[in-house]
Amino acid sequence: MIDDQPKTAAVLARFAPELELVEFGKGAEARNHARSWREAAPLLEARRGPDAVLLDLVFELVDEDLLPDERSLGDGAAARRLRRERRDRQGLYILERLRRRRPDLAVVLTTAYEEIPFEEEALSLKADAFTYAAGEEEATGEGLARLIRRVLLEREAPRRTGRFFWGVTPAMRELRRKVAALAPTPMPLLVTGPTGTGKSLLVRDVLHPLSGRTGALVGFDCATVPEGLLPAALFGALRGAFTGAVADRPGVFEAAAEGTLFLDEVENLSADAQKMLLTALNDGKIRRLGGAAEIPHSARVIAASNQDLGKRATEGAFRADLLMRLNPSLALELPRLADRRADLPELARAGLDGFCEDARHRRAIASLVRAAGGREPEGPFALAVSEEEARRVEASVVFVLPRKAWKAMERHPWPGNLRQFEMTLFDSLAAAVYSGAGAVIDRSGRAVIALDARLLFDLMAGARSAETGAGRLAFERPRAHTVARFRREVERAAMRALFQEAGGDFERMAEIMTGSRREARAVRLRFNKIGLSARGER
Amino acid sequence: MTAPAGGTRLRAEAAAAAARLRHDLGRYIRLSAPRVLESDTEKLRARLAFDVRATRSGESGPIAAPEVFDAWLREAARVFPRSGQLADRLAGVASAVEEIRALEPRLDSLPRVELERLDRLTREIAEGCARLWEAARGEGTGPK
Repeated sequence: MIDDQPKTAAVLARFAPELELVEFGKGAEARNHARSWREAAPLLEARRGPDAVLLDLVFELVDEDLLPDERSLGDGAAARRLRRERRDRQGLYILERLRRRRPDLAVVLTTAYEEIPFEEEALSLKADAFTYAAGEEEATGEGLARLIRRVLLEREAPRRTGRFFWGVTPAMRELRRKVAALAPTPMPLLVTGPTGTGKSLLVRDVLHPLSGRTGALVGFDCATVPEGLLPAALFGALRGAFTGAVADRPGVFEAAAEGTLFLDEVENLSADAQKMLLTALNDGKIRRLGGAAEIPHSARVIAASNQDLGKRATEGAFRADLLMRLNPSLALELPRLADRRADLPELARAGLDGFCEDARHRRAIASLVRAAGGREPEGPFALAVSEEEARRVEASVVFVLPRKAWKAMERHPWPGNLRQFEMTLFDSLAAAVYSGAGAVIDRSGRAVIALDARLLFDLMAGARSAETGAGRLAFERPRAHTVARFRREVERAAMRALFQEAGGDFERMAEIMTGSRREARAVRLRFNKIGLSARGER
Repeated sequence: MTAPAGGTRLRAEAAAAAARLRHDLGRYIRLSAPRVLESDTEKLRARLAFDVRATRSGESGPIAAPEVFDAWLREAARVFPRSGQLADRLAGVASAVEEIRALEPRLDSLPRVELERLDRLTREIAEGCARLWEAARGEGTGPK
């Protein structure tokens, strides 16, 4: 705990006696809180640092203990104002220092975001995946204890459940909380999110296993079954119910008895099928096509959609009452990959793990290493996201994403989300392993395999083309008062878009523009001439 | 119309001061409060003694809630207007503080009904500080 006051530590010790607060000072001076950054800093260098830091915002300290420069401010009105300001934002200064040393340490602010009187800082704290703030419910010691327990549990929780990767971004933390609360319930659920964000995986690897249901998970893609066959496929049919129904056949509702029925792309259900689904959800019974008997069903329904079902309901394309039955207010929404960039390094490493799960790929890697004169690889394979990181990684085989390519991957919009990111990585790994580019055995005997940056750029550019249409650029229409000005702004906007598409690589940009990398210098000159700078755009 | 620079600065200082009061007094005066009021009168008394008599600490030991407020007021009074919404909200907090000032010396012998009154006053202060901060923040960032 870093707090100039002893009270929070004392109260916390009472409400959460199981927490071990780190001691500072010795003998009679011993305290279970650090009063300043000066006192707290050495602890962060310790081999076993804290699991989490509790941090206050306002510190009534003397000048010499106040960040940013721990110096006397003197007297006078200006000094008093500066002192006051430093004291009021001391927690933020401390957090900034702390983040330089421990970017991923859980920090719990004992102040709500809304109470931080510096709006810009409060906003950036909200975006920090490892910083948590005590909200109104957590303003007392009892509430704070609850928050810390939750944070610690979250930190201990595995990063993945099955093949589903949770990551650390705030949107995924929120999703995890909702999943923990909703997965074991019998209520119908809706899973939403753009294509490729992992909706099916969430249902298969998380929601169904956590449901505690004894029956099977039955997946049903509402987009792939012809409209006329949907009712029979969902609810079953009796012999003779329609041409070709030569025998009684159960539908997926019955197949998912005591289990989970996963209706993917639910927006594709026909109006009839929607009505029948609503009746099944409301009554807990189904009726096979051609039959009169009502059969009770025990399947838990989880529907998924990449569409805005609320909007479709307003437009009359989806039944509003069915949407309400799917509990839209509790919908589990998967974020776009572009909104979880903090997860990208781990997702890349998970991508390598997935690649190496295939025995054929492992054999190909081993053969590559042997061909380079290395030993049969043993132990873990690793992925580094820069050349510098590659030097520090301990593994028998290290795949290296060139820094330039990785920076471009971090900035890329990934319109196809997680699926596209994984495919891009998979393709570049496969190219590195099978194209014979080769491994290098370094002095410590590790095999280092570099991924091809140009190929990664090409794969990403392909992804961008899929989003904007091959050969087309997308940018916002500029505003200008004159035609000449408009023409200039269009060129700037186009250059910017091309620069992003090329991942900031002028050779690649030249290739896209002219078909030749040799024009890179001319492109760069033009880029600068129209008032753009590579540094500014990066 | 643009406010004079001095006025803008005063409003910003008032917002910062209100945030500080919420932090130093509004939060600490109920830091030990449980979600459900203690049914045991002595536990209630002990909690109130801790939160009201040792709201914060200074070089010379515990600082009681009224003293925390007084110290804040000495520093912050000049940046608050004498009338209007902010002044009214500040007066609300000050009034609850005065009641606490009157009750606190007898805290060890107060009957339960008065302890509950004291508990309500701490809640009034916590909520009053929050409302003061909201109003100051609104004025500090200009018209909404």
